[in-house]
Amino acid sequence: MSAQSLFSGHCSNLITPLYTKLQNPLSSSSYSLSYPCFIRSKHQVSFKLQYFPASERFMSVRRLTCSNSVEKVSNIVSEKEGSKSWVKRRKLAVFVSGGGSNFRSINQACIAGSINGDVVVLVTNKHACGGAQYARDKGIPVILFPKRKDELNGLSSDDLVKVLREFEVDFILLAGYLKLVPPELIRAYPRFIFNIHPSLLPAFGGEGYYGMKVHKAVIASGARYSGATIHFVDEQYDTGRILAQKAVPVLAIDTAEELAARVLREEHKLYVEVTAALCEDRIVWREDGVPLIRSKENPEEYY
Amino acid sequence: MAAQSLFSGFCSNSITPLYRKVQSPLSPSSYSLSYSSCFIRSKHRVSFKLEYFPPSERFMSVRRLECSNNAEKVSNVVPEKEGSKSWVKRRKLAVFVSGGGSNFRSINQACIEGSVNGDVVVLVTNKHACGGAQYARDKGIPVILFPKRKDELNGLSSGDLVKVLREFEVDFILLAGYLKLIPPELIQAYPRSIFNIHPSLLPAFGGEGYYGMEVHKAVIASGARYSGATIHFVDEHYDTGRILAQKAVPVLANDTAEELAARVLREEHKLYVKVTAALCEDRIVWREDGVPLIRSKENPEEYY
Repeated sequence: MSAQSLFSGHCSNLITPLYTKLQNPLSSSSYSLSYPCFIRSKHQVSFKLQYFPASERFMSVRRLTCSNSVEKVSNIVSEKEGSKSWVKRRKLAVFVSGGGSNFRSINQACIAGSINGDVVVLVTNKHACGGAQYARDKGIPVILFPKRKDELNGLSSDDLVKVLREFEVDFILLAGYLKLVPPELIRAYPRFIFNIHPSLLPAFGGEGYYGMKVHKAVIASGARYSGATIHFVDEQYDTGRILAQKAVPVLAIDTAEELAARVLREEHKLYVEVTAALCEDRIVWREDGVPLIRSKENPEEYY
Repeated sequence: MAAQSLFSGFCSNSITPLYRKVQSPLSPSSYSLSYSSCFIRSKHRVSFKLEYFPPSERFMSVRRLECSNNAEKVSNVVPEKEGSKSWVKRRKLAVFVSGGGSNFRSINQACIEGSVNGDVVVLVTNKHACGGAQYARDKGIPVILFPKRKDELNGLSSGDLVKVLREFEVDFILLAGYLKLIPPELIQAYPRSIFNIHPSLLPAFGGEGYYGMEVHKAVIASGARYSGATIHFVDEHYDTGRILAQKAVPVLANDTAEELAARVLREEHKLYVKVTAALCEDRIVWREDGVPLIRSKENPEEYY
């Protein structure tokens, strides 16, 4: 029995089907993809699910592969009923321009095991920035991009794509990277590039809205809330689909620095949470194109 | 001792000075305007301005706050003796609606109950048969049609509207689902006295075209995880005046526009009543950078 299809949204280098027995009246005893959200959708918003009887199990895996990754099907370990699901560790590239506090936070979570991934390379436009120094201390390779006119070290856009492919990068996380990501990279990694922005987008986003400027603008506007937003990256600044947000209050006596500190605390938590979800394939796509995260604790909940 | 001045921001038709003994190290025993406590807390770049007057200058200070067009109203002022309650005249409110008027009803009920120190004295609408207008008639509140449609003779001109509101001695104008743009004449006549409520967290999802269900649909389509209500001062454009208050609500993964709208509407009602109460008790203060704040009723040293 096949119904509609749920597109997990990641045409990634690795296919990770999570086969779990569905607690779901629609599917009595067959294996199926574990996105029970369909049941909860009693309103106009609906999710699409794909059900495959057991015999079609490997067929369904191929249906989800990227056209450029057919050779990787051998990496998949299909699951027998009752055993744990196996998900390969993801490879992350982090892009920074400054201190790199989000990068550090994510790296620590990878090491601690709360993220099923590893930062395999750091990309920066400032070779002496805090993030780059921390990377070198931790033995993480540092790549300079883009190159400045007077520099010979930096890479071209195509070279960058090649290098990231060599590192077998799965996801690219921008964490305070101030340059615009080149179209070549976006085409090479569609729906795999994420950014964190220190406001509740779409407010206080776009060109010129970075760092302390965002917080100053928030305070000057009289807005009573700000926060952090993680979104997919497209060709413009801060316009890709929103994936996660966390709000903080703006107090009457706040300075930009105080607000920045309050938002930064939430940024760290949010980026770790989202990266963990990424590395566990917990991103799903609503029918209207909005990306959602499936809760780890309660797979029937989305946020 | 006079320092800088705190402008309460309201050049309204009636003067209501709140004289209270100030709990402030800066002012040992003199009467002064009750916005002094904020100065102490401002240890950062943001500062408030305060005005201190020794008792002999008390009535002088009242005049300093008056509108140039209201000198004759000084007699309405009742100065306070130390220890007695402060007296604040009930404010007169005009509410503008185009639709059902649920915010209007909510505010009106609060006025009747006494949680808002004011009364809705007139309803203005561009739709004479809308829910808000019907409710107003039921409650004996006069209904004014504005603006007039091309084929109608009943509606008022902008100049007439200003005159009528002045006759009603309106202190504050509250837009509550009014879809027409406010004419410049009205904004000039009532500077910093016109307020609007918008069903999103401005500056997001505001401006022309963003009204009613359109706002909630846009919020959901964007993937934003938060929405809410914003009350702001009104200027010549849609949704661009200074933000006075906001309340956030979560947007859930399976929300429809209607569900989000209902969640936001509940907060709108509470917020507009809270803000109107603050308005009618002169609890709006202005930060130095021009951002309006509300002084908490429970804790006068807190602002939000």
